[in-house]
Amino acid sequence: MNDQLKSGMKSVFRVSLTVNGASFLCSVLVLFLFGVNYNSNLLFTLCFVLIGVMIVCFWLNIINIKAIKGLTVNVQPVHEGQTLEYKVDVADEGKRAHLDLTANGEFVSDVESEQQQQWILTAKTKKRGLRNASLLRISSRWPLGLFNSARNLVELPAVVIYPEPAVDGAPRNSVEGDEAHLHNDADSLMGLKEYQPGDNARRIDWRAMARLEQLQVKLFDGGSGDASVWLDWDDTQDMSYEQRISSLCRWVLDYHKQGAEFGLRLPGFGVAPANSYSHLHQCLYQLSVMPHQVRSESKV
Amino acid sequence: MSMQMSHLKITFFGVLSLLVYALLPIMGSLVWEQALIVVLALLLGPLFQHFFQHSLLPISSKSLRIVQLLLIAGLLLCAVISLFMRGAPWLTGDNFVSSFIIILALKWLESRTVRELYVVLYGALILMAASSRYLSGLAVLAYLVLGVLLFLLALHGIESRQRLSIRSGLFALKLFALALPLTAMLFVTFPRIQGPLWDLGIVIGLPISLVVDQSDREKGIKGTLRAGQVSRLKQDDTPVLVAEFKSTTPYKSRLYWRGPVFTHYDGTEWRLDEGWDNRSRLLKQAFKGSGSLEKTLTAKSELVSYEARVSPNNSRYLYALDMPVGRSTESFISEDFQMLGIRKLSAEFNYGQKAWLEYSGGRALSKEQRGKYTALPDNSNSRLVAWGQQLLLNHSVAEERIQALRVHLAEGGYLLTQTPEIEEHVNSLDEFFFDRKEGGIEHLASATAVVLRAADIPTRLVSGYRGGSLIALTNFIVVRQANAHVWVEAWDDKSGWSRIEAKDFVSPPTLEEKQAAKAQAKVEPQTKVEPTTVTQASPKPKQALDNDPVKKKTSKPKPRFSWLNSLGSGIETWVFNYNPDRQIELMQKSGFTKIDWKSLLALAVLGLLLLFVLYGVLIGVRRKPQDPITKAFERLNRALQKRELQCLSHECPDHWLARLQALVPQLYPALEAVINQYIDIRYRGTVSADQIKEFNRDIKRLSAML
Repeated sequence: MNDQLKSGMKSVFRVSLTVNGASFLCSVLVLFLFGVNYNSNLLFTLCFVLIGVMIVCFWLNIINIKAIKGLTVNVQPVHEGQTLEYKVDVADEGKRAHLDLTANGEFVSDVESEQQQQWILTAKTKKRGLRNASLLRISSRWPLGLFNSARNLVELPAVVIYPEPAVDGAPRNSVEGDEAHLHNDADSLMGLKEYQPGDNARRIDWRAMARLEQLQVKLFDGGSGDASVWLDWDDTQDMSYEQRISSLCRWVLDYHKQGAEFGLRLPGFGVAPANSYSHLHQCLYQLSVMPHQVRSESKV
Repeated sequence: MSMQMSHLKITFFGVLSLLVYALLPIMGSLVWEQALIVVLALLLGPLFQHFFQHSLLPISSKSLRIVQLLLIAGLLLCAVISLFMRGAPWLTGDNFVSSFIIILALKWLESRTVRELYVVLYGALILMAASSRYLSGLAVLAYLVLGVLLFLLALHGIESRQRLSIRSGLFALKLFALALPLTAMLFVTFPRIQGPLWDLGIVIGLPISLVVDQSDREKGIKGTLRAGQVSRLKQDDTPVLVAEFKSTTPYKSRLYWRGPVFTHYDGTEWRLDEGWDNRSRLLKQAFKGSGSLEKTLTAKSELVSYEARVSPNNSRYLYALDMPVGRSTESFISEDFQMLGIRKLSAEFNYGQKAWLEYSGGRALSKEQRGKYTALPDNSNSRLVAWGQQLLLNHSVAEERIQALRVHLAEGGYLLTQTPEIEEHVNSLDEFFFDRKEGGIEHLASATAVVLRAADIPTRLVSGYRGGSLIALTNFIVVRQANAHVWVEAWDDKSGWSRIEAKDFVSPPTLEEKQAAKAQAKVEPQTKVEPTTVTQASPKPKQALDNDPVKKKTSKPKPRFSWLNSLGSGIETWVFNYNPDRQIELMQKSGFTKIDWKSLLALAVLGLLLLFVLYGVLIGVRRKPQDPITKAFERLNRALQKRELQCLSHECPDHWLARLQALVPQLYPALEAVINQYIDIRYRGTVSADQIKEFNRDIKRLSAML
């Protein structure tokens, strides 16, 4: 949590009179002058009722956003241009319903008393790169819109916005060096590794499990298959800077989909050929944090 | 989108209903073309909304908007023309109200957005308050309560994303109910400022005539006085004069503003002396030279000094305070102690004057004058005259005769009403004094005068004004036609003329008057003891309550629904008629000795703050109690927060522990033990109470160490 966020978390709570609230007060003042003018006790009473309503609203407004707790925030990286979705789980912790809330300016669903609720907050993504962590600020004007109270609920975590993949384009790659392993081909047993979700269930070594009380997957030295592919920044020199990034992004996605092993070379970064989710994420991450275009860099 | 639209529609409906509700009572005061414009605007508003939303007409919404604006301009023009055609003075209250209504209705017609609806809504609220003045009694209360509920509902409807439903109605009711205790507190304590507000204009020096409707100028008492005249005046609140007192303002009930003094009575009507308006005669008999009046006074006390502004009344009367002392330019003091203008007042007149509030005295009466002041009409009010003559037989001393009359008035169960029902005839005073015992102030004063004259005490009737209303927070007193009053002056050979206020013996003095009497008793214990003693000897509190004419009407016993009546009169006493005097009385009863508007305001503010906090506590700005395990965990977390090692909101304890291992290896073993304990208790289901106890102890120990 950086300093700015921390100080933001501190200025948690704020209640302010809305324009509507100010007009309400003005009306009360006018009614009071009426009351004075006509010596009417009933008009005075009317003013006092309205003042009372205002005070009640003040407190109701505050508790409406006070006794609410953010539980978890879940967000998945998306590509540039896609809509980012923060899934925020919130719960009431004050035995009261929370109505008419907005979170970062968006209307969100009410939280019933002693219930949990998931809010899906969307955000437009305009630029690839790292989107910083931010604070989720909720506010409400409930019940009569006389006051607006706002506070920070949770921290929205940092998230990567991947580059927008190019629409299509045949991959350009250079095949060199090592050949790719096709680990799925059963040949000779290389060893065991800890089971991870996504591994082929048929390769689980049940005997080893009885021994180690852990799921183990057999690893085979696959037969030599297709050559591993290198995606190289330098292969895309005829394109514009952003186009190069999005094309590489497209190819990374395509190869991953095909199950082929691929490596990536970017200025100042290189990763050996592989094919896994973490590899995919690493490649996309590197592409997304490529410095944004400055004229001199376009000729790298 | 469509849901939003239907929501907006319901919102419009909520505002419209408040607007219509606010218009209902006041509609009758509009002239027909104004009413037509308002109804048109109200009906067309929703129609345009409909067109805008559904684009039913084959025209674009832009041109529809132009049509709408043209229509509004047209209606506005009609309204202005109507105003112009009526010709009446433009700047009247009625015109102001009707213009406000029309503008509000047109604004409604024009509104398309929520923001504009707010304007209409608040306008409707204010209109509702103005409308409530067209109702009376308990109807006002019911009207306002319902109106507030409607207002809250409409406001909630605009603001909330929920649709209006029964639940919103209940919510509005709940808001209203929650506001009631605070309302009651403010109602009791908030200092009342007496209006009307345009009095404040008088304070800053606006001419009274600006404030007064010009057509009302010719009012007041002139050459003759008949029964009912004063009562009629009492319903009029036109200012007569404004006085600014130099130091403290005296009690209002002690202020007698002297006007025409009547001597001749013919059984139905009092008349002034012949040639009462003849300037040279008046000047000849006037008190000339400074101090010439004061020399004739036999008793005097309580000197006050003031500046007065009299509104033009087309006569000489300046209505100076009894008993005037000094001299002022363009005026003189007449034989009858009135302050009169050299010229008739056709413009506002200012004078500075001093007055003795308590006095007796005057030039010795000539035989002719004595005859004039004891003359009685023939064949009129014979029983009353006989009663007076009986007094003469019973008491040899004049003072005793007066005292006997006072006692009779105090114990006779007389009632003063605003609207006397006694017909005018030569024996009307008999009817008042012996039969009905209920009448106007003229009946009472005339009867007193007749009795005294019959008892051989020279008497005259003085008309003018008594009291006035204090403008809040100032030393200004505004005297209105509503303060019109008549009283009696009786002659005593030793002390001269002195005032006999029959009213104070009949209707119980208000709190203020009681205080005045007290103050008076302190100032001059010897001379004026009798009135106070009589006051004390007279009406018991219960009877005193019944004497209030307003209440008597409402509390006439009926077999059923008597509780309803008593509720009604309770509301009448404590809500409608709760005024500064009653407020001070209440405060004094509850133990506050010195009460002025400042202490009341302080009390109100204090109460407001107190209730404000109390509401906060009651509504519950507090968290649900945490369970002991979470509490203990939070405790550890806070302890670690000092070292910036706290568990982050998105972190599960497992990950946290892993992080801690890297960050603070030396603390890790202790933390691991406790946090694993926590994970165990939190996520592994059944735990024993001992386990929790142990966990709590460990946490406490560890947090203390950190």
